[in-house]
Amino acid sequence: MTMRKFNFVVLFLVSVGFATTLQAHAMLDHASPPVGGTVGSSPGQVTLYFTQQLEPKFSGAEVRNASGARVDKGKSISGNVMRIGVGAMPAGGYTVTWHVLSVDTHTTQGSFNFRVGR
Amino acid sequence: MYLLTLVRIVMAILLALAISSPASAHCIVGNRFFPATLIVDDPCVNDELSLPTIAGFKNGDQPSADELDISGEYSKTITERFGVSVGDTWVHLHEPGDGNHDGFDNLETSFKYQFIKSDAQEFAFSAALDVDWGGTGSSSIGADPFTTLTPTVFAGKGFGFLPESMKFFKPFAITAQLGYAIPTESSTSEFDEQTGLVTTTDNPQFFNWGGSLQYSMPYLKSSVQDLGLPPFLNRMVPLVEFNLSTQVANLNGEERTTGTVNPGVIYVADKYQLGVEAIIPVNRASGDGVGVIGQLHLYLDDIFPNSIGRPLFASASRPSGQ
Repeated sequence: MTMRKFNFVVLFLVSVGFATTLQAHAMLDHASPPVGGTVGSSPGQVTLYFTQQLEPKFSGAEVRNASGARVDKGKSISGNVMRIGVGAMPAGGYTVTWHVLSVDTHTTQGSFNFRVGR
Repeated sequence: MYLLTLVRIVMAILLALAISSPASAHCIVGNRFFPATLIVDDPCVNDELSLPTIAGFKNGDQPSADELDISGEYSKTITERFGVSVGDTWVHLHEPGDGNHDGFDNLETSFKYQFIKSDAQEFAFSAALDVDWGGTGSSSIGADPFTTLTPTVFAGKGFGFLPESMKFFKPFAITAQLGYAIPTESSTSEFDEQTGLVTTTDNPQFFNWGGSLQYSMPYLKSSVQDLGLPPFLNRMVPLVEFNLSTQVANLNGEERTTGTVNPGVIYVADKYQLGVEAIIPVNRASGDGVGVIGQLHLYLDDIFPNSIGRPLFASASRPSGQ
């Protein structure tokens, strides 16, 4: 390595060293009911567990039945867990669509399906 | 030389100290995360650092030389859609009958713009101008004395559109990279001290084409079905990359198409990824036998979200709450 390239690398790494280390993107770690899973009866709520802490004001989710109608009834967020009330859910397929803002201001979103009843 | 050093120092300081507003993201498009592939580039602009990338293989020379490449690349977003990157490679050659040679290859830069990022379609498209700066590398390892400009387009598409009956195919995604390499000099003349003759070699224009087919275990777990697999497996992205170059103009008489096919796997952590792939040459002019490439790739937007991990200039938009 030439001296000029060595200088560049050292200067860059030293400068980087002063930066603050915080959180990463919030990705869905797991959910209840599980992603793609089936539960025997109405779960009462859908719980999403993320890999990072969330900003509640800018995070949310909706749950829709097979005909596209929303069945979610409010949310609560604590740390990295989002709970979505759903009330009684008839047997059938449901889609959860979520969007979150992690505490380091990164946005992510996603969706998955689950089924109620056999 | 001193001017170049000064420019590099100023650039390093500016890049490291850049502090601005909101966050960028690495290549996340809706449900889809495209990892940084080792051989071809992903279809997004990012704040990231690949350091090191280490490759060992027998190159396409006759006779084949043992080659060890150690490279690094730093990518920086200027805006949320525009980024620049700079990289270089240290090359060590062991040539049968001619001993060892080593030195830096030419400095490479890229100026990339993200045109499309469609969450619903899991589709991303970007275009770049790649510049290989002639004369900045060492002639002892064969660095080109001329500059090459390569306009390139990149695309990525996830298979999340497939019906539920094919849900286990949804984690598949493809990426593609198409470029046209234009040397700024049509030929290169070299003086042979032994014969006293000047030899002239044509510098071909190349069509560069490559891509990847990847299967995302993170996508399978978070968007299709959580199979309860061990966390380590849920972070794997097995993939096959390919990268080829075909001479299309100003041919030099050598093999027209060279390149490699690279099966391997990428482990995706929260703030970094580790990748390892085989290097399989498509013909003798591309290499001799199977090599290997490994890479540590750092997500700077996640490691330093409030400083160098952000675009230098970005809008202050945030999603609406619900």
